[in-house]
Amino acid sequence: MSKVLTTCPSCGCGCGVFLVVENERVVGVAPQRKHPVSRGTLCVKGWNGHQIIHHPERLRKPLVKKNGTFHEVSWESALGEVAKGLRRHEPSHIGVVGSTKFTNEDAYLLMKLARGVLGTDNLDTSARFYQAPTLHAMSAQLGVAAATASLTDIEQADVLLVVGSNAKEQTAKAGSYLIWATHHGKKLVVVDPRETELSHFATLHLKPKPGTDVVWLNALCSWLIRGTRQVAEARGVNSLAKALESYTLANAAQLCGISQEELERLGVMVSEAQRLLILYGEGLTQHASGTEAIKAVVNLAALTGSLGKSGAGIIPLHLTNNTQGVFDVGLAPAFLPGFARVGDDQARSTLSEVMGCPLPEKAGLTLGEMLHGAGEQIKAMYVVGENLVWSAPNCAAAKAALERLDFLVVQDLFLTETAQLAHVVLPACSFAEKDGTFTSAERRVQRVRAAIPPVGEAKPDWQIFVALARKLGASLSYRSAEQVFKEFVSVNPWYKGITYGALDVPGGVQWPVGQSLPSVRDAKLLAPQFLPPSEQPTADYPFTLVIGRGRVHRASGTSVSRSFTLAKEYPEGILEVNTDDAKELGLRSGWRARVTTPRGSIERTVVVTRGIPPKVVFASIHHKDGLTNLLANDSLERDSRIPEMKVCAARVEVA
Amino acid sequence: MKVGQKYVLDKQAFLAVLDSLRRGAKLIGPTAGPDGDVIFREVESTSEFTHDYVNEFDPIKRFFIPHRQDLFRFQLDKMPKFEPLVDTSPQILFGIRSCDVKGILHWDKFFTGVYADNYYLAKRANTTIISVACNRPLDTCFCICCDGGPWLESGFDLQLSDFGDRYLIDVGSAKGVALLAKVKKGLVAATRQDLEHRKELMATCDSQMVPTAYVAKAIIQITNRRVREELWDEMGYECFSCGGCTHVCPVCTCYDVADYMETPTSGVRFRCWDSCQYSGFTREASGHNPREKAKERIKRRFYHKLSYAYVKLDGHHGCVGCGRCITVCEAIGMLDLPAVVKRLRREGQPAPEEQGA
Repeated sequence: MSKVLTTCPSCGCGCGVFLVVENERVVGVAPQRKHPVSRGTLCVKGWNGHQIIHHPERLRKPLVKKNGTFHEVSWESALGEVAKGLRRHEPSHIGVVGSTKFTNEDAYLLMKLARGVLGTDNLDTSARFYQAPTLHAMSAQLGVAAATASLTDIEQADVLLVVGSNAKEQTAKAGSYLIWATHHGKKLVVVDPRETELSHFATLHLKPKPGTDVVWLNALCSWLIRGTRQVAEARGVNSLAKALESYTLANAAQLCGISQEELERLGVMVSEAQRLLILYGEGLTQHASGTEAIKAVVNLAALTGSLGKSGAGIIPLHLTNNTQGVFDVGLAPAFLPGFARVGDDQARSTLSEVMGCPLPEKAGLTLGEMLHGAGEQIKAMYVVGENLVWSAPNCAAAKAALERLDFLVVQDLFLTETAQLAHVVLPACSFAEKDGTFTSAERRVQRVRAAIPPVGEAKPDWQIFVALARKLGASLSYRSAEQVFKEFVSVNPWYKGITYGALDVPGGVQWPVGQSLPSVRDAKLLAPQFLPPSEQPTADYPFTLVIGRGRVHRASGTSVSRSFTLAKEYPEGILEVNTDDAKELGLRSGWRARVTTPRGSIERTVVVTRGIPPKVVFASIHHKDGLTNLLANDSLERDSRIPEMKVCAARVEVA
Repeated sequence: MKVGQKYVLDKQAFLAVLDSLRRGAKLIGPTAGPDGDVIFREVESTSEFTHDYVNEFDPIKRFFIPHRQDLFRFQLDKMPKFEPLVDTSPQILFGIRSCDVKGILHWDKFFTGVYADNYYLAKRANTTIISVACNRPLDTCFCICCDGGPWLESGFDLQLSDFGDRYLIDVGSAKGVALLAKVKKGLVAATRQDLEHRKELMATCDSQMVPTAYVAKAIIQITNRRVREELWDEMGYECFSCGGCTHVCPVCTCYDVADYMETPTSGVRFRCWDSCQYSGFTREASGHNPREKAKERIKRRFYHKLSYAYVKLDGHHGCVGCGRCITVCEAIGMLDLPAVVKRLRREGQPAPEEQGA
């Protein structure tokens, strides 16, 4: 029995964990006592998520589909098929989809393969479904799309504003610090239409109509600027004040469905705060106003002087372990490493020189756009570590889109519903079988260490990319993950000074090293616009459906369904219905209800509660009794092109 | 030489005996981990041991009750076959602390209750326990509140007290006698001065312990149902149901049993760690769950730890004072045993203002 120190892949908190290994099997885990953030704790996902590693359904050999049936083949043969299939298409017709769960090294080489070898900027990850507004808004306003604070800053902050995140369940370590804070005199403001366990501890709980956050945020900023207290010096305060003139607390209260008194109370709390820390999740980003809402958050942080100060700032609470890493790598159309833009000739030229190959000059399609354009604009796709058939909104349409492709390659741990549609399937290693790094939601770069040999013939993703590049006639020569990391560091100024050796301390290293993050003076204030949800309740669909996750979920639910213990924790999907609505519909807790949207219909078990507003229902993602994302709206938001998958209009009836 | 006697032996001489036993048994003990923290693992030689260590955060439970243990292999054909997979390989556990030895005594009770668990008992019978009295408590340790250390009168095969270059050795069992019999020379009876020295070391250790847990009052409160539902409700909101407390507790034994089918008619029945803090732990086949809410599970946990019904059954309350639950709890400083004991003790007390009336 031995123990290997690595980083937990369950969410963006980046907890330290030991894998307990016996006879080349990961049999258990133990928390790392000396870790500076997790400090000897793990959440339910951390304790049990490792069970997927040895699941009997692990893919062990490459598969090629012939006459509709998969056949096991050698790696040489499989990669030959992949190269042949991709070569048949123009670069602009190829889409590459990466994972937010693989390592920085995997992400970097996939970025290099797509741009440098295949010549396509149609390159994205499922971060597009969750936090794309963060990437777009923060990079424009701060030059950095990342948390400006750490989780331990929660201990120093005096006011904590949590928007659109069920932090206690989704990012438990953040929730842990937040609850600690409320027991130690800090003020916690929770903004969420639903009551959650975290809201129980809130000093103030605001319940705006889903999708209206940018309105109360703008009103708050406007109120701060016009208030007696001097706002911090930031570029563009005057033009922002002018642009936000029409946003008043009274108007916001009415439009958002919260009381003006509560908004004023929030305003006083925020204006009097010495250290304001803002944390947010997908409840803020997955809307038509998603990018606008993040602009408003940056404005609020700047106006309150919360940037460049310890105990204050912004933290996007990433659901997955390497969302930050894939942003840092530039695994997104239009973005290069270090948040440079594809259209920036200088940045592109520098990267091209280091990578040793030309790069596309125009921004490509986002994930949502690739799916919408499948069969026409996009004819071939290479999907790595993402079960799109479950994770995409309107998953029936996503499935149909993938079926329209001429050629689909899927690289994953399991024969997922997406892999089943593929022409070639490649077996990949889990985090326990490869070396690399993850970057947490608070910019902490930490080592991932292989604890066991690869299961079957699975290979680390980055090695597959290298082998495929060779098949495509390019020479990517990397002998180790460390060598890949070194090259990545050389093209991302924010990672300067970070080496594998430097990461050999508990908690790794937070970037940047020896530089400062943007402060108030560096912030550019932009005037956010309110864009209402594209789908509003109607007579046929009178409810607003909010889609979210339970305690054991990570992203699409693909992992939880294959963990013996986690699957037990979530035996069925639920539908939260307001008490009065339930009475009107004739529903009771424990009964089955049918939820229908313009995209489909599923059944869920009802939980009647006063913790959800009237005419709003909440459905958790689940797979055994119907994919919740089947119901989700796949309309793409204007700027970041994130789907509006948090809310949609729905009908509820007794099943 | 017999149980209860105390000797002194040069440290290197004792370690040499362990090395000589290496061929016939797995030798497990404390080594330095990659981050400087201690890790108990199998070693090839005692030279791999570290001797200046705090107690490991991960309990030694994994050496007796594996995270996942295959119980038996089955074949369901016309003539069903069952092949038990009992592990009887010998192991020597060196360097564990007193609180963990106390945990083992709890397991002995649990696994020999209504049914004797052959898997545990086989492991137990094939393990030699050599504890080292604690000399480096963490700021989370409180074994002195739970009769869990820092040194013990019994329960071990051998107990060592580290005097630097020598060990004071307490003989705790026939197994310990047999082991010491392999010492060829240098073993001398402990003097009164040696015992005094040990007492001084233990007093120093005691004085370094920070948390307190006045368990007796909490036992009375919980046994007599003097705890308001509102308090359990509040704890239910605080709890993350991560299961960490039961995973790291050296007393807890939560597990689940399931089958892993290898072919349509054959497979393995296995046991794996579980947690009473998971809602799935008590869910019945019908879907009914007597402990659906976190509040109910927490209440159950502390009832099991502290109620007199179990103190009577087990001979001791369910805590040895290792302090691991203080570190592992996501509800920081709220739901570990000392914190809960403190909250329970406050129940039923008149508020300060009322006392003067």
